[in-house]
Amino acid sequence: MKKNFLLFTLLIAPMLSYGELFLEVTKGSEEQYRVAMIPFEGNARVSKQLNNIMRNDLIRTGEFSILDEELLLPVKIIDDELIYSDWKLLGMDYLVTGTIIKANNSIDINYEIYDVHKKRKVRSSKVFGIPNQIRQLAHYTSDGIYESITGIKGIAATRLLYVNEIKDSQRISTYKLMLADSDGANEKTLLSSSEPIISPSWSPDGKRVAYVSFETGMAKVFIQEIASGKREAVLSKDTQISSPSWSPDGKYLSLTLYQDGNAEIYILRLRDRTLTRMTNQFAIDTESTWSPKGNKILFTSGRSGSPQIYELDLRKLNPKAKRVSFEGTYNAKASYLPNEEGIIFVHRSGNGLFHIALKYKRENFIRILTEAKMDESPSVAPNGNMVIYGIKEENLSLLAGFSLSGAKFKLPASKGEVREPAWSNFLR
Amino acid sequence: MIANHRYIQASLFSFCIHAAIFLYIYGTFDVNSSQSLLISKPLQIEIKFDLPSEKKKKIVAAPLKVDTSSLKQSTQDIVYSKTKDVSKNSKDDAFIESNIASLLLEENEIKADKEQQEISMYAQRIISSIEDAWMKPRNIPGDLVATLRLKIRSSGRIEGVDLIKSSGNIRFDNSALQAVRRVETFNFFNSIPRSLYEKEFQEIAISFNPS
Amino acid sequence: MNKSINTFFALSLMLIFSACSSVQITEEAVSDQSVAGVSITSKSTATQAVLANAVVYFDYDQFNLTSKSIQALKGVSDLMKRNQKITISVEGHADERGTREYNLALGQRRAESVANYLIANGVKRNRLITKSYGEERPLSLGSNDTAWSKNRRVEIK
Repeated sequence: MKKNFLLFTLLIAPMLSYGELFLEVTKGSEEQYRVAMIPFEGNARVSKQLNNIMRNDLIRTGEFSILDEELLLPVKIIDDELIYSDWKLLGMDYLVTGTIIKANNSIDINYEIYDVHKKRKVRSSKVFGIPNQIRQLAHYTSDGIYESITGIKGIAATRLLYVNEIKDSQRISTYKLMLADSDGANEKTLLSSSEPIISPSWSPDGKRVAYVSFETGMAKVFIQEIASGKREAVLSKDTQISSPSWSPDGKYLSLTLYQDGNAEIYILRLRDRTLTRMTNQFAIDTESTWSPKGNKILFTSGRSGSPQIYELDLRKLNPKAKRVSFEGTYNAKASYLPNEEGIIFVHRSGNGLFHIALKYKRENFIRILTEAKMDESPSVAPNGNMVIYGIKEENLSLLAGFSLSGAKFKLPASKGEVREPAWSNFLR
Repeated sequence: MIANHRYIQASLFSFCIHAAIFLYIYGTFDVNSSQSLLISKPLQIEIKFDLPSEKKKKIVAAPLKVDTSSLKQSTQDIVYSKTKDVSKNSKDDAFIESNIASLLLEENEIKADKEQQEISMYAQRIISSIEDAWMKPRNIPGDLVATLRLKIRSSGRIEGVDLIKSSGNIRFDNSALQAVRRVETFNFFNSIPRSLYEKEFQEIAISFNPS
Repeated sequence: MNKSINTFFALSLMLIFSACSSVQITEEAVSDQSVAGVSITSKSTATQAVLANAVVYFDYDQFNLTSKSIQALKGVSDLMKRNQKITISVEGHADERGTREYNLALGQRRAESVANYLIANGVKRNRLITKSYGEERPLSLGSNDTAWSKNRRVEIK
């Protein structure tokens, strides 16, 4: 009798789960947020300048489609509520408005972002400017808008390093290490030399730069403070040194030394200038770069017979280089995506042309991302969504860039040629 | 001691009665709904525009001991695809036994199949609406899957969206959320029978899987 | 509150953006120093002529010497034997294709190949300086096979 009751109870144990339909979507078209940007209220000239810069910043990411200015409608507010229907009809996802406020010597911005689908304001922000820095103000605002809508940090307020070479009438070159905003504006010369400069590398805090200069008659690495111009050779040894790369904590520099006649990778501790050798084999080892967490190094090695990408795990006691690239006969100058999901590098395809390629860690094939003939020196933006690199067009070198979502842009030199770009970390 | 035993027995009995009442109200004992419980387990319905793929065995089998054996294989492996005719599955499988119990069972099955057809039809419409609005990011790694949970009003208005499983890639997650945001309302929800809406479509899970 | 935020922003921005000083560098004549114990002598015109002729060329992606290059180097090793005081600078180069740093290393390998040959032929190591300019000092400026083949070289000075 008791047993039956027990059994009975067990049998009717109910599934109290509740109907949840589970569907799967596999198809879609191309991504772009559709945004209407109303020119900010205030000084007309400033408003126009801000608007142009912000549009350019957002369009360059490839993830935004900004409504043409001619198609903008007046913003309707009734009883303190924004009327969204017009914007919905235009197919917009978001609306951005703002005001320019004069404050002492400078300008501040208030801006608002409205979600047209949810029919409500999703962001209200203020950006404080400083005198004569309207471009930076615009970049900060673009980044704020980008982050609010995508959840990803924007790179409009980051900066670039690159080398500029100008030849005079006698074909004599002057080389300059340049610093500029991420859109190429606001160029500043950090170093001017009659000897070549290559491989600029940002310190993680954006305050210093390391580079290779031939001023002493051979390749040597220098570190220079951006604000003061103070510079020093990284080692007093009379040996060739190149390929500097800063560790993410700023305490180490990985370098290529040629002490025994062969390019090998060393790590220099900046505090006391002690060197640790990382590679020791007969082939070329160079182009070292650190992983975002600082526990791995990617580098180029010729040990398999042709340049390929290898990885060293610094956490191991005796790290062994692990080969990472297997397609093609030339893979070099790799760097990690900031989330370590994959690597970007230079790849030579079967027809002998050089392109920028992407390989995701979990995939075993590479994706070719550029189409010119001699693409080189890729540098990844700190949010991992854009890459800047060097191309050659009509015998002149210039910079080009693309976003992973498919946007492309070019940054030609105002004078001469530009190459070897390096993208800074986030600076805000 | 004996008093304790009695007491336990009585409370167990009382518990069973209360449980039975509760379950009756909940509907476990309705013949129909015990079969629809099978359907209301999370289904994975894939829309593929090419060939109906092999890996369809995604329906989580209901831990029901009741009636499972008499339902045919086809109703467990339901594939809702735009190219396949769903009704074919159920009609082909006819019961041959002539006794009344199985006839009754058959009648209930047909009801269940009809319901499944309806569900699949609406499911397809939901998927279409979202696919029209989904902007798939470029250059993302393969085999990413993001899963969202949607709360939908009977009018079809999407009340809430939650990312319940991130793909690990922000751009991909964003694109899924944006697609749902753009749809806003499933206009055809008015034509869904109220009971069916409450059972199946009030909360749904959608997985975005481009591979 | 606003004001202090303002000042904070102003200060931090100023730190980063203002006063990026540009550094001017002028070139000095770099003399061959540091080679152990050997004094510097300027080379006679005749010597310079021999060295100028001894340009060694390489195949794409390669750093090994060809029979042609060995021919070119005979004159140099003879010269070095005759005049024991001379030190030479062996400078490697590469064509523009590929990455700059890898080309710098490739140029160095080429310089080392030449140096090793000379050493094998009796020249003491301390009379040689090897270095590389990678693709930074091309002889020929085009982007075609002819130009490239001219740039894949080692020069001796």
